[in-house]
Amino acid sequence: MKIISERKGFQADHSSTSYEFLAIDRKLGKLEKTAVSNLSSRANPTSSRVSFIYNGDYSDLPGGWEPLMEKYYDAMYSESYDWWTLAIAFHADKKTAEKIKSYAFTGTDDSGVSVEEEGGRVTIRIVCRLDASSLFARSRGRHSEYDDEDDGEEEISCRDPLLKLLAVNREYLKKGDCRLLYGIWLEYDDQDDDESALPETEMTSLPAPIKNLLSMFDQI
Amino acid sequence: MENVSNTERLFLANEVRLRAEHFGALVFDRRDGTILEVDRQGFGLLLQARTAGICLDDPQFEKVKDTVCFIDRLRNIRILEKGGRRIDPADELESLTPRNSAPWLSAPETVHWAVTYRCGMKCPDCYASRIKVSGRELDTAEAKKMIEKLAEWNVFQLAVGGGEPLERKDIAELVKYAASCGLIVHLTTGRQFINADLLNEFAGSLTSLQLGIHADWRQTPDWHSYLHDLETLIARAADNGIKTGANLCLSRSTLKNFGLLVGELGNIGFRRFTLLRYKPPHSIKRWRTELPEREQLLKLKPELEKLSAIPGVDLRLDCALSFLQSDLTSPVAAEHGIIGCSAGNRIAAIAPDGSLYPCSQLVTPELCTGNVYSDSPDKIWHDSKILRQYRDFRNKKGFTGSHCSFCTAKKFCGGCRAFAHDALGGDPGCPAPAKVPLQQCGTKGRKRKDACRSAKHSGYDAVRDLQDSIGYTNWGFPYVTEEQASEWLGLNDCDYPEWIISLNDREYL
Repeated sequence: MKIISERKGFQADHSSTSYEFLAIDRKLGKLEKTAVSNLSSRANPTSSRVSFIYNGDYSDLPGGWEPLMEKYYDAMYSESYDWWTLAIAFHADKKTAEKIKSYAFTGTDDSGVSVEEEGGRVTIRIVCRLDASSLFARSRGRHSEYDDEDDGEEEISCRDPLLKLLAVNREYLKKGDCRLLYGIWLEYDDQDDDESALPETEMTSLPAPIKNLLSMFDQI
Repeated sequence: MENVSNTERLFLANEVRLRAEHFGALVFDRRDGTILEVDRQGFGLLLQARTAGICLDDPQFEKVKDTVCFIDRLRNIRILEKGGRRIDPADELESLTPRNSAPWLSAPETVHWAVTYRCGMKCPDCYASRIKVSGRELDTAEAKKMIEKLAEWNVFQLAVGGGEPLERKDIAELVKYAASCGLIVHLTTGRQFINADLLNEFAGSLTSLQLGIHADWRQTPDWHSYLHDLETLIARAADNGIKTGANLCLSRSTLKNFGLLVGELGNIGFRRFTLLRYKPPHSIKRWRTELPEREQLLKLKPELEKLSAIPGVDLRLDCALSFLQSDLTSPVAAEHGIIGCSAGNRIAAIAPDGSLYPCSQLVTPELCTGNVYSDSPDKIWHDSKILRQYRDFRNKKGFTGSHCSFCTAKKFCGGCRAFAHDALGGDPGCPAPAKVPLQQCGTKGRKRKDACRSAKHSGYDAVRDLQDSIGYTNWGFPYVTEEQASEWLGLNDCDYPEWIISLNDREYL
């Protein structure tokens, strides 16, 4: 069952959509890079990174970002019209997966956290408003001291500050530390009832990476 | 997006229409014009959503990942809603039953109807003035009858144009009638004044008003007052709930000041820009002057990317400009429903007398497929050999021998038939055919070579090549002028399509 095509009509709202992917646990081989590059003639995947930028509603990532996270990448962010999607994926045991799932929620508008688990691989999707300008500004200041990274084989400690931050937060989540997700719920939850409350989580003395990421979430 | 729990029932949104097709169905959202193609299974599910509703926790969807994704995506774009409709399964069965198994659409999605060819404007770049078919116009009663037929045929949208459609006294009556029959109606005009009473009459019936921009007036002292008039018209149309858009014909002069022009139009309130490729006008002399240079078209793409990145700007491309999207990959193009030329497929054109043509550019007595007013549109659509030719143009001789047939984008571009010398083959006006490496041509390599040999069917600069081969003076001037070389190569008509020349017997050269 599928949608063969979707054409926006007479009220189409053109914006650009960008996607940044990072592979952490496993580098992409030649065949995998070819498969990714087939998605866009402008994509130039390296063994751990790929970017896609689409302008206009006539072009977007075919099939969405999810299949890429299932198969190749471990962290992703996408920005479209000031809305951000952050995604983190990893293999987890059943207990950790269940714990993470308990932090899923739907907040104001489209915001929230959803968790998919398939074959032991957990994919966390965070839909949010984000102000990452200070992060990118800080990062640009530091970049001048590095060599050009377009050699195609950069390390996991990639230059993209947001991907880097997601990668570090991923390590906490892999260990079952869900303070990031709880912090997002505190930011976006719009329910007053206790039923929708997430498991109480201690939020004092947060590690810097979690604190930094949470500080970028904008209220809706 | 509304929050929907897995236990709530979702229905097809009230404003969404389904139309059975050979691959499944077309889903048309009347609120924003979005069109989806869904497969047969998806169509089955939407039929269920239309009558009984669907529920995500329904056991039949369990563990069927595709189904959940399908529903989720349709819910995100509000095709499925909590407050949708419950329809008696017996209703609208006409559009929900495939009419035949032919591998083309059961009807066009959009019909372009030139309600009249009359117009007092005499715009030099207007293509309508070269059209030489019957000027007879259906009267009001006949036109209404034809509108009923289009609605029964399950056409989604009616694009009313001309000539100048506002020349018809009954235009508001026709627009209202078409809307009452369930068609989404758009109207294109070259006028900047529309009186308040007429706009009031359009209110509630006309979805959008496309204003043909007289960009050639930009060099005149009247330009600023013209912009002021347009600004007033945009505001009045908005007061009546009518959206407006700017139609920009990309002539050489327009492209010279494209950025400035779009900026000026944006400043007076335009957000939607429909870009139209410069098509052969009545005068070959004018064509020679205003046909854009190849470099101008090549520079257009980055400009469009910048423009489309501006929040709120809605940019549309005429299908003759598909070459601007030629760097898409086939899967991306397919996912976005980009098929290039859609003459006789998604679109069809109707002349003022009700006769049907593959597209509004291809209106000649030879390409008339029948008359929608007097005959069955369904029968014309399925039986016409002319329409079949256009649906299958990529396999026709004129195309397979052309440069377009070797382009990597041929599946989702293919050029515009109005530019082809035989009105069916390759497009000699494409500024940048995406050439495939020779080793990939395989057995077709020779054909490609032949195709490239013909300057008229390629992007290759034969004039420059000839000048290079004859040589240059010590001062760098070619021994043969561009004009002389063009004459020797038979390129003096700047690729003005031969089918139009033969049609008019060069009567206005």
